[in-house]
Amino acid sequence: MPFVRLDPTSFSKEEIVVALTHSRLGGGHVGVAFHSKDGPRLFHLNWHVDLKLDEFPVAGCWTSVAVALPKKTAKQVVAVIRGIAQRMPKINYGVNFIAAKGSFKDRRYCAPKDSDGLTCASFVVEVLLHAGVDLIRRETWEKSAANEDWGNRVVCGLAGTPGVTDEHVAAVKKNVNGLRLIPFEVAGAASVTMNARPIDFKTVQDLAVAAKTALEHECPLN
Amino acid sequence: MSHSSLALADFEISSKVHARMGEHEFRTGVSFQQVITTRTTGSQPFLQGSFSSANEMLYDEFVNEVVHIRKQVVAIEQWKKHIVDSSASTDIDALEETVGALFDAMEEFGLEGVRFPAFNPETVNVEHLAVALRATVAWKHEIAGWNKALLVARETLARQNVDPDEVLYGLI
Repeated sequence: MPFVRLDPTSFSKEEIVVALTHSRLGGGHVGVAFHSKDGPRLFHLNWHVDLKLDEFPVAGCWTSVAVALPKKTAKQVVAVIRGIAQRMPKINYGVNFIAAKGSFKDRRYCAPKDSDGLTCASFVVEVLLHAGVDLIRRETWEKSAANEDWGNRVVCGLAGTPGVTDEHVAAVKKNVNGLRLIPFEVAGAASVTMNARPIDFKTVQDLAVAAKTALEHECPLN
Repeated sequence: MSHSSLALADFEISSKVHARMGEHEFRTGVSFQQVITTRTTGSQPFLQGSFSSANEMLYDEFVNEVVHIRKQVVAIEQWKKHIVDSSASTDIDALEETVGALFDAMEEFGLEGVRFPAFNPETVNVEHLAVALRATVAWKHEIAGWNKALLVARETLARQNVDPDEVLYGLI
């Protein structure tokens, strides 16, 4: 599916789109957009216990890609995501996306055993998983030194965030191991045909680059 | 609420209560309906005869359980409403109603609130059944009747000559 600049008319009521924008740390920031009863919304985990359901026009420039789904399935996925968005749970920011699998119970967020929370990227993956759309093969993800650096920056960021407990900072620090689900990877995984899901780490890398390129094209940094 | 749901509620209540308590505890002159009505409205039930305190505790426990089961049955009826109505709208707002009622039932009653009964493949509204299955797919091994309900959905789609992937993508 092609990337297009996100606006309220760029996706129909019967579509789910994954939206991507720039982030301060350069890894991108990702969310999921859909039409609620009251109009289009952008649903994204901004930071620690900072879940957003933004009305349009949204702040900043975002590119987006529709998640390829059969039409009747897409309606159901929208209905389930609307259900989750009713509750707006408080979600800790955490890096262990493997342990986070199955984070939503009915419309509630409920961190599984050993989960330290979600990132913006794992939030999107978990929301879609809760609606029966599994984007990625988690077990194929690979570690990198760059991801470990990112994990350490997250720990510092959390430690400097008012209201974050020492216990949570310690739990996240323990999970910094070089594994990371990058927002560009999630956007890339969202762009594949429905039969290509769930996608593995190696296959998604070129798609992640394509997603980043699309963002830079739609939303150039000055 | 429909007549059939009341009948189901009474059946479930009777089964549970008889399983818990012996016949003599019910010789009180107070009917189930009186108990439920008075408990729901907050007024004191008029009891004929007398209870020992042990019996009163047991009676109280039983009343609470009856109220709980009745609420549970009502919650199940709510999320089933569109599934058993083949003419119900299948737009997103209607599907959201099914999901919302289902999530309400799960929040209040856990997985007991989402047991899938035996749906009739000839009359089921397959899109509403599919969205209910989708919203609960994470517990497909724990929820009673989930896999059978998926088979019903597949059978219904086959009868309608609809590709099962169109409606059940990600579930099969």
